[in-house]
Amino acid sequence: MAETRALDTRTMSDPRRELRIGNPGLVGTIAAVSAGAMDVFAVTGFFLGTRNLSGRSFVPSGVTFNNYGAVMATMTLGLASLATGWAMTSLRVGNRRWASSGFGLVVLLDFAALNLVWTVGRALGPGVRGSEYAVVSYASMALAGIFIGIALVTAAAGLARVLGGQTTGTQPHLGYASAWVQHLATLAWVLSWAVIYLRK
Amino acid sequence: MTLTASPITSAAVDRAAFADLADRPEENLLTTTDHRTVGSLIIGAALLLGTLGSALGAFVSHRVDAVVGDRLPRSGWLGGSPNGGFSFARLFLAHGVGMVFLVVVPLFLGLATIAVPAQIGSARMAFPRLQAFVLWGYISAAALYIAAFSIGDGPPGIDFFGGSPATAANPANRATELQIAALMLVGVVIVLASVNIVATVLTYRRPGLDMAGLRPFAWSSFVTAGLSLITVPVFLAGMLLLAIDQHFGGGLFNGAAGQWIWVHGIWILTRPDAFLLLLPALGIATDIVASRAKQGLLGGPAGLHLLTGFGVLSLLAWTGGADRITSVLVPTASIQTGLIAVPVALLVLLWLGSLAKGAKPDLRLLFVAGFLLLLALCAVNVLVAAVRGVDQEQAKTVWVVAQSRALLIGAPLIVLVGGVLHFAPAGLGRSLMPAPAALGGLAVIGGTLIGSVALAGLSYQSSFDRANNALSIIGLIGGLVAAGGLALVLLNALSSALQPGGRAFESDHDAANDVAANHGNDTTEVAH
Repeated sequence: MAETRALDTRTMSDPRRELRIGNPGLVGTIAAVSAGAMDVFAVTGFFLGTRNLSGRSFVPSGVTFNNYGAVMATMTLGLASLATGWAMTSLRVGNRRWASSGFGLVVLLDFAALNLVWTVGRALGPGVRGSEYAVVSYASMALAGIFIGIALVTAAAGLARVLGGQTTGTQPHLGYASAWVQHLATLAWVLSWAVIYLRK
Repeated sequence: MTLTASPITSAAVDRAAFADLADRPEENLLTTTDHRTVGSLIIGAALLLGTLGSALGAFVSHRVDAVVGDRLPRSGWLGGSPNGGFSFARLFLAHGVGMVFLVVVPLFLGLATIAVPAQIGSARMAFPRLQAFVLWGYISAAALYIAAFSIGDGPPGIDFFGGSPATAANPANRATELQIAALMLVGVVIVLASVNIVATVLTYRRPGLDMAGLRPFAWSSFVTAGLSLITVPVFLAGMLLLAIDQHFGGGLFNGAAGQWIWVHGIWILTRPDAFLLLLPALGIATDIVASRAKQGLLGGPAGLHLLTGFGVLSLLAWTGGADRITSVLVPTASIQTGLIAVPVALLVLLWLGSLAKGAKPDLRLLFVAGFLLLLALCAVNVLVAAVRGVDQEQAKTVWVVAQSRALLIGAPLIVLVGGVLHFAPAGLGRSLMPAPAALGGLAVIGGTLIGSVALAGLSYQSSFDRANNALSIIGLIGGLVAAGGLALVLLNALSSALQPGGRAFESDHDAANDVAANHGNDTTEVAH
């Protein structure tokens, strides 16, 4: 009697591991993600610089850290990065169903992350009026929100193209691009929350 | 070609690349993605705004005393209100920031859109629709920027050339938010165009053309775009903070932290971008010299290495101080920023050595000469200031204004206009008409030089009553002559573009040779 396996990989080809850097879309995405990362680093640097120059009175009284929401957002974005990796691996081995499931999951997780970041921002405290702390922290979270939104759009485009058969194991570049943007969004939020929470 | 290959010479035209470009059906200007048309439209818009901006700058600089000191009511002009109106300082801000972000930078982007694909043997950019977005994004940003200065009294004193944000005394209004939105949109446009240029150069080079074989302008565009991906996002981050601060009244820029962010993130004169504006100009000048020197550019790829060195050293501008008078545009501000003179000097020696071995006379070399003359005048200005001193506080302001205008706007503008002539065959399919091109070029060069010298000379005068000063009037004339030259170049380009018969690459082999892609054997001129 043949052994039954939950995930039968015998018929699958080996994943293609090469990163075809010559593809214009992928090169352009990497360049754009580099610029986005520089943006994140700059805002983070401005946050830390503001804190160091402001001294003890940096965080105004009445600020509330929504730790539950922030941790959930971090976990959600981590899962989104994992899901995009799952989608890409599925794409490389030619499993269209898993790949589309992966990209669909990323879309849902990014929606959830956007909602969580909005919740954390609203719960932060007295608003931005009159507080330099609020300006840098809201700028940091706004930037993360922008990148999560862009990641959501690229994941949705990836899902549509996988379902439409334009992004496949032999043409995976848009999938790669979506993955790069997703990782940037995760980086943006993790750095944002790290400085807001740990360097308060 | 390897790093030890033969000198860069006037390359043979890539017939395959141009054949595709020569015969295309009529295109809709609103929806086109043709890189030549998109680039030409960007250049046309930049020249138009440059004409207006130069004329505005000439008039406002004429009353430089009012710019740095007074607030004179100008009711009714550009929407100024009767009980306050525009100050000369605000108009000068509109001129300065507009000339940098809406004229000099877009001129580079337009030239790169036209010439980079042609120089790498490609018929398109990597992302044609993205470049079309760059065009319309730029035009939208220009409209927003003009709108900002047309609402009420205009933006209240956010001087991007100034060493202090000074937002505390000038509460935000809608005009400020429009101005910030316009500059953020320009920043996004620059990033997207840079992404496109980098991707085009890396992935659309013709087979056999490696990076070391790129023409100088394509290489300088690649380096500028690559470094812009590092520097412009920092500016955007600063602008994001400024936008939130202005909209919600956070008060960030009233304290020491805000000053620190301003200096390293937003203030134009302490950012690498101040130098990066010169890098494409150096690339164009090198390209012109390489195509006009009979034996090509000496030193093989040394020119490309020097352009790279200039770009990398420009990042050291971030290490500069925050003092207005020692901003990075003063070459001796610090050892780090002084280093940037080294690759420029070596590059100039390379140009002179190449031309000394024989050159084909050409109008375009005049732009290189004007560029060098202006750089030399700026160096002399520094020496004079060091020996004689600039004592009065307001005179220091005028001195920095003169120096930054010359280096940040005037010098790049001269060579970029030369680039319009140089790359016209690639964009329009034919060279510009020679007589108007010569007249327009001379006007731009002469007007810029006269205006720069006059403004610099004002800072050495003992009296600060400069309203009817002879130097003020000379500066006004210089600025107007430069504006007229830009208008003439624009009309010349329009006339060439609207000539019947479409793009006529067949009739202009020599001009096309100057901008076409290098072949692997770049010491060989292919006969057609």
